[in-house]
Amino acid sequence: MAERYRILLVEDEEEHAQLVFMAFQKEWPKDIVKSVYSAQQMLACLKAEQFDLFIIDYSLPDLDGIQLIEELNRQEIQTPIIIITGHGNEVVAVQLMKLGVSDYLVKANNFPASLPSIAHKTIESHRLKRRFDVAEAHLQFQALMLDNVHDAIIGIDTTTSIIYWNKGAAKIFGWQAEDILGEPLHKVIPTFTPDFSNLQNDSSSPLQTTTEGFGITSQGEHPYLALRIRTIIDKNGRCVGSLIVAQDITKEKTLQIQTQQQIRHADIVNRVLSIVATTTNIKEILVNVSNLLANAFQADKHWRHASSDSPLGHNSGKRGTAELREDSWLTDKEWLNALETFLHKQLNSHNRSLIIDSQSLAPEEQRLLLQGNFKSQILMVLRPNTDWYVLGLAFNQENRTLSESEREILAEITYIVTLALEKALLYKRTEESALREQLINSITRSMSQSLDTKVILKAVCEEIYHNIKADRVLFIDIIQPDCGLVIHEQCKEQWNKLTGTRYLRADCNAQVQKLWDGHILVVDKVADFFDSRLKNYFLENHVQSFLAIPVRSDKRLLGIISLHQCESVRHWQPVEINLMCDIANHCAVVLNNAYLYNESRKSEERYRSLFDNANDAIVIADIKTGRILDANSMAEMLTGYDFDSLLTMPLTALHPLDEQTQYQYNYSNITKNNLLHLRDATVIRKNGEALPIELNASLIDLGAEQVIQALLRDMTEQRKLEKQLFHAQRLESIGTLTGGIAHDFNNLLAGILGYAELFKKKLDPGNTKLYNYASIIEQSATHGAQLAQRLVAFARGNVELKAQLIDLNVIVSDTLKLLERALNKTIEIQPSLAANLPAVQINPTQLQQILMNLCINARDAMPDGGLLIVATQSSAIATYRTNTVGASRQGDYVLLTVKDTGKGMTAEVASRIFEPFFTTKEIGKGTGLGLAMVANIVKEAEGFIEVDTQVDSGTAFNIYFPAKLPERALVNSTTKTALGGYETILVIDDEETLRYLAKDTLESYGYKVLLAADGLEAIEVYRKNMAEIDLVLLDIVMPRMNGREVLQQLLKINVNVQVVVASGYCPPEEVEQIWRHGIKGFIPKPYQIEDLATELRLVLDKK
Amino acid sequence: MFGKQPEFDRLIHLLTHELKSPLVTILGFSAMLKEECQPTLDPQSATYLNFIIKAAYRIDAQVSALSEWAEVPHNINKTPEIDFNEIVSSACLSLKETIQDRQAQIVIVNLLPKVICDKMLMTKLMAHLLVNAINYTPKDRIPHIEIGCQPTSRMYRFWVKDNGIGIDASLYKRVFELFYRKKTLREVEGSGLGLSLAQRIIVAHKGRIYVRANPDNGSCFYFCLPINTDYRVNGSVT
Repeated sequence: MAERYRILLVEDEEEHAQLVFMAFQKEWPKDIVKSVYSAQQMLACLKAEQFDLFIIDYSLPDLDGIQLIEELNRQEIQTPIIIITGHGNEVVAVQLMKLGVSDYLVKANNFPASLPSIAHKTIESHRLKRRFDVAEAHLQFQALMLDNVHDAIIGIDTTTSIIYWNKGAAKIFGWQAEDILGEPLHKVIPTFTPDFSNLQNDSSSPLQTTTEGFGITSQGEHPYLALRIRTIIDKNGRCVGSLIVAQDITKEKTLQIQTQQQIRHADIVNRVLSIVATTTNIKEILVNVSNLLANAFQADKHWRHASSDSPLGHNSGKRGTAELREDSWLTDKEWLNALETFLHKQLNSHNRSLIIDSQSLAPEEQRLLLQGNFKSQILMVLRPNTDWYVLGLAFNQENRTLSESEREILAEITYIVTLALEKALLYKRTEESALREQLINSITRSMSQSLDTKVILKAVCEEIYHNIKADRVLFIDIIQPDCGLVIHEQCKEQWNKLTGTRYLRADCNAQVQKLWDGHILVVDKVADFFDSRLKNYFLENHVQSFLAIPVRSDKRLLGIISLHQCESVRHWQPVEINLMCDIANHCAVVLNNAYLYNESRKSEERYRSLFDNANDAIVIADIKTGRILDANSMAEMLTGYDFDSLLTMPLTALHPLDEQTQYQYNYSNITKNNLLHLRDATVIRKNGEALPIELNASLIDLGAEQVIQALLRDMTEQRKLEKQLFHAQRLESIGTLTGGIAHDFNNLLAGILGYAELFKKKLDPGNTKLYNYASIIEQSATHGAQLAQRLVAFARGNVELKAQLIDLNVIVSDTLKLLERALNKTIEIQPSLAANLPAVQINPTQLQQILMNLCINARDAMPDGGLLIVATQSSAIATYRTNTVGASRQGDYVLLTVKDTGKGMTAEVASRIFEPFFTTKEIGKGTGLGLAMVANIVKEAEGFIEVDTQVDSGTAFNIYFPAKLPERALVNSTTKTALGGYETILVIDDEETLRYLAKDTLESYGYKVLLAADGLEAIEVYRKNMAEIDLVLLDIVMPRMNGREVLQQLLKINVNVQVVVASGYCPPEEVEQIWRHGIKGFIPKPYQIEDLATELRLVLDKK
Repeated sequence: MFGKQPEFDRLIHLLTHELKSPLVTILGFSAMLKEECQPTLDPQSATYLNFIIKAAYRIDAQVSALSEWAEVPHNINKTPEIDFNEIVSSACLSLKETIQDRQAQIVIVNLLPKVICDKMLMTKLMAHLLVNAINYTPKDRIPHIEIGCQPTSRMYRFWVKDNGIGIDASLYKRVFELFYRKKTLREVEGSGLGLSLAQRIIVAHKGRIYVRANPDNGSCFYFCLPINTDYRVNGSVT
């Protein structure tokens, strides 16, 4: 036995351990002792091994014995312990024994020797004690078992007297065993009576049954019990009684009942939920919920009521539902009013849904609710939004009150149904508005499908007819402010048509007249309509109800939509009225759009026709890309590109290549306020021809996009005209200017000329050299003066020179004499003048100018000399000649030919020589005006010019003057007789040179001369010397006071004043004016001394 | 208006050239006449001859002025910046004698800027304005001329102020017309082209010229020149 021991020695002193070992080895040769040195080692060791005994040294390096044992106890290690210690201490020993130490040994000299036997004893007694403990525990357990079961265990005999009563029974029933034993069973379990009668003879095996039932406790409580009953059979097989095990299942049972209730409630709630989930119809919800609740609460009657202002109340127009009518009280108006008042009171304090139990009300309120045979009423007042609905449950049963759970479930249902009603109402409204919207959409769509008002109105009437289900729908057009005409109608077949009917505003009563002002007219019942005339009218047309809506756009009445109900009276619903208003509004928009569209289409058409028929090319181009988007037919003509080609081109491509960048820049800079205007633009046509155009480009907004509209005007003709006009204008302005210049020069040159003449007179005629010098000066001055005059003549167009009938030959001869001096000796002049020419009508000076010009040109064409032929002859023109300057006509002409043998001209030059400023001469040698002037003069004389020229063989100018009657020319040649005199002459000239020249000249002719430098001075001098002054020589152009003013002043002083005007340059109309003022003579500057003398003599002699 | 007509310029050009030749002839022969018969000439003939010579010189002066006027270009092409002080001194130098004769005082009131302009034309302009100022100051007065400049946002505004006879408001525009000459002062000589030429020069520089005056205190000629001359010529966007 000892061989099986395992002993753990805990000893820090090695010698001691050795001693213990040796002692045990001596006793038991087998090594049974394991040795460790510390408490920690020991605890670690215990985890791996089990021991029968611990021998522990009291003082260990880490723990003392007490601490170690406490630790072992904590770990519930029940191994017996022997403590060995060097120093015995009784207190410690007692403490240790209390802690369960088996033995306490003081290390005496021989202590190890006794250890094995003590160990053996300790182990064995420990084992013994363990076995005893187990047996005792077993016994205790059996005794406890019956007492400690929670169930009641009751034994009864066949007389049902209680013969056993355990603690469980005492606990359940409250009776102690001593009080109940011998009592009959029904005292505690009245619901169960065991029946032993049929068991007496029968089975030998015990019978077991189970049942449930209430028991009665000593306190009178009724625990609910689960019973297991087993008969007790004795050795002989006789039934001697029963053992009843009763279990208190009150809690479970209650739980079960509660669960069942909850299930029921959940079921009701589910059903309610399913009702509200499946429909959004308020009535349906209320009916179904009401039915459901009536079933669930086993109500004897259930009813519903909706507040009169709720949609249901409103919609049905009835109070209550079918069930309400069965009981008279439910249809009693008074009762319902009282109910509503009562509910309003209730609702005022509770603004939410609520449940009213009649049992909880004050008696008078109870009386209100408890009508008929009903003893109780439960009301659910549902309050979605501001409406309210009542569900009533009436009971015959008295005191039918709501249990807590019922109240809860009702509250929940109320909550759910209220929410559902709210949702339904919302849905109803949404649906209504959706429907309305849908309807409006559909109507709008069909209205908007056309922009033709007829089609629109047809659609409007049809849609209203179908959707509002009116019997007749009219559209009344307002044809005059106070007159409507039915222009469209949709009507059921059986009713008469009203199309074409006129309604005058004046015929309507005030109510109907309001329609014109934009008010809606709703008549539910025409029969109630107070205006009998209108009533009759409507009734004649079978109208029982009608609705009229004005269609207005921007306060303008476009028309009236009128709905008639003929079959029955119709209560127009607000929804319908609203809908109709919406439709009318849409209709107004659509009609307005149609109107605007038609207007804009008209304007578009107008624009298009303008665009297409415009005289200017119009090109529309995208501002961003510059691509051409549209072009009119003129643009095709102007550019030469066809329409399709144009659409592939950018706008700039129409312009010359080298200017496209510039145009691009110009076009891109166009803004609303910055138009592009180019007077001198150019278009390159398809064939490459450059066309002068005027370009006007602007930016046009086409809604989202902006385009450039370019107007291109062909300026070819315009340019030609402009050129002419410009030329004319330029000539005029140049005329004015050159007039000024000429005036200055003329004065000076006239002075030079005059003084040169005077000078010459003074010279010794034999001194040819000096005489020649003076002549040259004279000639140069003349040349200069001519130059200046030519300029003026050209600029002014020579109108001041009067044409007269002349003999061409005379002028030609005179002129040729002059020319001989001007031409080189190398040029031979060959005149060839035909005798007996008809007269021609022309100013002799101009004719001279023509001849001079042509001859000078001929001279210039023959720098190396040649032959100049000047010929005159009669010529009859039979056919129209081309290539002439000036128009040729049939008839008799006098032909003047000037022909040279010079360089000739190319055709190109020849075609341009008559253009002003065209010259082939070097700069400074020709004015380019000579031939232009010639052409002008010839044209004025109604003649024409032909040029015959060939390069290197010469040029011939053939000038044709119309032949007049062959009278002899009236103008004689240049024979003049300069005559002197003795009279006094007042010379007025601001130009000092001329003033003195005149003085010198006239004095040399014997006249007496007075001078005045300007007008004021002249008046003064004239006043002073009026008596002696015989004649006044007046310069017209003067500062301070001009010639005309002076003339007027002089005439004021003396009406008969003899005035001769001298003027260098003076516009012809002004000359005419001066003549009208009453002058006696006119002499152009510069004048030759002799001319002046002659003119003055003539005037003086006339006097 | 006329200044913009090349044809007119050409016409003037031709005219002046054409006139030049008879003028030279007249001047030449009258000079020869004078030379050859001076000793023997009776006083009356001498007067005649002098008249001829004087008139010829006057024509010549006018022709030259007209030709000068016609030759001013319509556009000034890119030129370097010129110090206007330099221009004024050149103009003064060219008028040295006139200035000395009249003892004229010319004051530059502030430092003149550098301007992009044709130096020769601008000198001519200044000379004309200065001569004008001096000529239209009565002989009994010492001409006092003030030159100044004030920059505005885009222009330099120059002025030439004198203490001469001034100018009537009705003539503010007319003085720039071709051949307009104010004859209030008898002794004033001139071609009548000076201010017209000045205007033409300023217009060619894309500036403008105008005159404002107080009749007692003389006239003040203003001319504006762009600070940054833009020589863009193409395209006309209105």
